[in-house]
Amino acid sequence: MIAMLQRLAWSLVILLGVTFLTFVIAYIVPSDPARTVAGPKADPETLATIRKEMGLDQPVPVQYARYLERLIHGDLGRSYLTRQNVTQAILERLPATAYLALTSLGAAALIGIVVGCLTAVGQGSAMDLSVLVASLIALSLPVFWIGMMLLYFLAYRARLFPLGGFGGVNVVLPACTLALGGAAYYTRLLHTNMRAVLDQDYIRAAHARGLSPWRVYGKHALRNAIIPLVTLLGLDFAGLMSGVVLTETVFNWPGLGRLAVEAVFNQDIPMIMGTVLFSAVLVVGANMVVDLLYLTIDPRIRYRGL
Amino acid sequence: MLTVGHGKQRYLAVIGGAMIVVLVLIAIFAPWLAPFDPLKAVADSFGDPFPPGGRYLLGTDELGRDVLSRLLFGARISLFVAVVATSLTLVIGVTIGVCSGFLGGWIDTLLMRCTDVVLSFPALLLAIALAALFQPGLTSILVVIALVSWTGVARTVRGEVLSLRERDFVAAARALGGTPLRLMVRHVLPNVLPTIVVMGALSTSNTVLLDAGLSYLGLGVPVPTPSWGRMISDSQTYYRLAPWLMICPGIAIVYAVVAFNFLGYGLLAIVSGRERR
Repeated sequence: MIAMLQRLAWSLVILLGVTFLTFVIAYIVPSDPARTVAGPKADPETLATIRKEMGLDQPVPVQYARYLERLIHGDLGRSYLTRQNVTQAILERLPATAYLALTSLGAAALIGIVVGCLTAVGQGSAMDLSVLVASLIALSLPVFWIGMMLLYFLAYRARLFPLGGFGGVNVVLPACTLALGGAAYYTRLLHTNMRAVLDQDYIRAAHARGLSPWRVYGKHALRNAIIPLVTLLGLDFAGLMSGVVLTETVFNWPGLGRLAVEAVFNQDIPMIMGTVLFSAVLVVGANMVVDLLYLTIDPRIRYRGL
Repeated sequence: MLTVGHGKQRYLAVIGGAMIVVLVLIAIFAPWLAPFDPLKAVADSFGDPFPPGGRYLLGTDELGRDVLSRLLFGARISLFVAVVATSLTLVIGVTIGVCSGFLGGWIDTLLMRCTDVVLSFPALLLAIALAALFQPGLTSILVVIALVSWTGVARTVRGEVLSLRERDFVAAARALGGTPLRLMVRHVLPNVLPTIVVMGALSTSNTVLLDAGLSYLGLGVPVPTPSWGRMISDSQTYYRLAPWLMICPGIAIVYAVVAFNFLGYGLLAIVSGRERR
């Protein structure tokens, strides 16, 4: 329980740091933040109003406090292009990203567990090396390139999948694109863990007791090999979000990543900073959930604390 | 770090190293190797790309330029960005990692918390935000890549320094009156060097991918000779008609990333194997 509370407090510290960094990027780095918010075409009167609205005449700590106050009320500002509320725009795009990200995360974990176990059971250093080399090559493929290749060969040439669109079967190609890197990483991790676990005495004991191989590998070995995977699923959330940006751009998927890229093309600073801050908050949240989950799965950690 | 198949894994360093040598030679000798001018339309028919084969080995693009020549020249800018941005990444990461691990105390806490904060941002999104705010240009891309990728290096180096700090030779140097700065630079840093080399190779592969991603989103280096990432980005409108415009630069990127990954993991096996003995 104490470990869990510590973990919560830790997340709050990180969140504060995250807001400070976005504040620095949006308010301190540009020479005139009002201009970045209002856009290059704004007239002097608008600029003056915005400067006052943003409190740019105030000292920096006061500005940061006000920024935090707005964030707590869920106010990320307005898009200077459409005048749309940034928080609202993000929440509208969130389900599409969640659908894509969770599908591909599930696919990556499933592929990683199945392939990692199968390759670990067939022992031998040649197999170890092939798993390493194959996963290194898979991790070296640029996400957007895989997406375009899949689109060209499977959707355009073979006509197996629709070329574009949202929902239903349309998720298959983007999810595969996004899942490849994770699948490669989890495969290598599970393979290594499984090999280490299979050398342990209790596995030999389980075999000796006459348990079926299915039971030995599936239950006794897998349960221990899978624990580190849980943390990685969370740690990799930031990497997943980077992949989401590219995948959504390739497939024109109407999610958060596409929103951020569109905002960059329009130089829509409030929208850019909003999506960046929001995704960082998502990452902090995901890491926290995973750590809390980890505390529940592996009781040994409780006594050590975090 | 994940290491499997130690014995043979070290040969990956040789393969990766050889692949990198080829890449460097291509970058250096691009003007002699390239059959055509990468920036000029050389094909007879304007606007209708030639498929690979014949006079144009890898075909021509939508403006009649030779794809092979563009790829060979593209190696220069891609390699330049990779090497310079990775060097910047290492400078930031190693400085923070060594200070954090060696000095300890509140400095360590503060620096590691900063690292955690930066790690919470998806690298590509943070890079996009920074690239959108800075003036577009070669320098800003290099700085942006370094600013979002130093975290892994800092963490690994810190871990290494934490264990080195307790070793006898550091205590001896301290007893002889070495200042903290001298201890860090003269005694700790040389011992972290193997790790830095490994991290350097692995970061380079990440840098190439990040640069390609940024170029794909239109935030890459604005130079006349396109980087491989921008060639793929430019091909988007035409790739159904002319798939080689997307396939060829993609293979070039994969080649470079695989080379640095092989080198990194091979060196990792060598370094950790040496420690074991």
